[in-house]
Amino acid sequence: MRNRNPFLTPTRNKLGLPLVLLGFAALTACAAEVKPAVDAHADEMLRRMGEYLSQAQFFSVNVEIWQDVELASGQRVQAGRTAELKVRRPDRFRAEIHSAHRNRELVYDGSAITLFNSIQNFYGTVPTSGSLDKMMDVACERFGITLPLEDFIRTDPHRDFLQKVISGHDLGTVNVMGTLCDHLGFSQENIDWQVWIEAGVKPIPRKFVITYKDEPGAPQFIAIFSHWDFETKLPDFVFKFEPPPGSSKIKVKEIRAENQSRKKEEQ
Amino acid sequence: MSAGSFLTWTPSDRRRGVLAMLKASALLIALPLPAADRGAPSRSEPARSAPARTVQVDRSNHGSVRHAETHVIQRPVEPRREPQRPIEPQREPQRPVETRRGPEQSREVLVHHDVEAEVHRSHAWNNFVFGRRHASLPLGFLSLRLGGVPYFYSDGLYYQPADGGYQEVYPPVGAAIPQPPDGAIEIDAGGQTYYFAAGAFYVQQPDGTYAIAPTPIGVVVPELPPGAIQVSVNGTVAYQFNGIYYEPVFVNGVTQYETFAP
Repeated sequence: MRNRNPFLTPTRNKLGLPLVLLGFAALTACAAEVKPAVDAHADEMLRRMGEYLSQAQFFSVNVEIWQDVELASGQRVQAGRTAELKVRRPDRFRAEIHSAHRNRELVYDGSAITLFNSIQNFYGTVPTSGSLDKMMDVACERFGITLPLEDFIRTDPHRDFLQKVISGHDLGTVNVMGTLCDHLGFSQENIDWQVWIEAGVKPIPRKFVITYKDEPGAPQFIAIFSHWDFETKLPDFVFKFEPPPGSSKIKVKEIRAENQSRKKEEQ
Repeated sequence: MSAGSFLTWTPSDRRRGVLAMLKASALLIALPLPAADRGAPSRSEPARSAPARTVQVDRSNHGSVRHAETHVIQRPVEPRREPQRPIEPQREPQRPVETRRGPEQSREVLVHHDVEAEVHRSHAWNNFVFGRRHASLPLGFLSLRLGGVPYFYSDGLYYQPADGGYQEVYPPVGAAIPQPPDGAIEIDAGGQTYYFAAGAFYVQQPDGTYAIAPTPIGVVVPELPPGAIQVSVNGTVAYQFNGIYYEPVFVNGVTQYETFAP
């Protein structure tokens, strides 16, 4: 029996091209409906924040950090500490971290990283040089030291933040400590993270939360930023470590060999 | 006619159909996905920085997205495995129990490290003082005998009889207890898993008990044994406990202690 498919009969062949265009339009519409990985506005806000921070030649900020921890009894509580960060691009950094029981400093003067345990009066030095990005890589990969909130300090926060993001959304505007902010939420394979960026001409982070989805109870890391200062200059002495009287210099243990062996195991 | 009757089409119809599909496919391939591009800014990035390499740091403590997939290291553990050979706890019937525990020993306290936050419970063994005397033993103590020498154990502390009472002594190598003391920290070194508490390194035995092993040298522990004394070795600061020396070192950015033999 002859095929009577109306779409393919000779009289309908004139419709071939329009039909193809129709299909094209339909497929284009389908493509347009594919959910973007990151909302355009979320991406734009993150980009603005990254550019604002990376273009600042120097700044200081205080951070209140809260972190979920679990007691031996299984009870979930939050542990807190504060950090004062001072950044001067391209190669100066100082972090002072304080908690009820311990105080620690990390100082980078462009030629060495110094760790200082001010409670026990111990310090240790690691010679290294280069940009803040390079210093952070050396500190982490060779010595297992991750700078607090390093994502905000790097040269291109927008790019680094989005490296492993699966999706991201603008969740609207909210107040953080009295400041109107854009609330952005991002999802990765193992973590979700949120950042609250000040609305307006100064797109600086006001709050930051990481949720570790792959750990029992999905604990959170919470950072609240305050006292952003882009005006006060940070001279060299701010980043110069002078060993206090009575302090003892101790070794900074390198973990590179251990990491390399671990990486071999993973291959 | 249904669109599913492709097999019943004439050869010319099939050619046209295939041609139409090819046209659509070509258009799709050439078609930019503006929406997806808009939503995935990384696709338009000309180059990306190298992803953070996998290194051994405690990811949950530094607030870093870049290193969110790094390993988690060295956490305090509370081993709860029951021994295969039960050890019967004993009671001291003769004397009333004298408690020397301050109120701080019974509550959980938070110890915030500089970069990481940890939660430690304060245990009786945190207040170990070599030679401290007690009129009686704590409730639920265990009786042990090592090489014919009597020892008593309770909550991470070891006692020996002294002057009609008992005194705290260093953890004796070879002593086996049903489970590591509460708050013991699991340490992997040299292919061996140790449980470190009160200056003692416990190793699980084939019968399920945990016995004190000789202190391994070159092992890093996150905290000093209670009562360790600060000394100077070759001009550098160190700590000594039960004949073993501990050198302070920065590990992962925080102060820890490595065992050594001068």
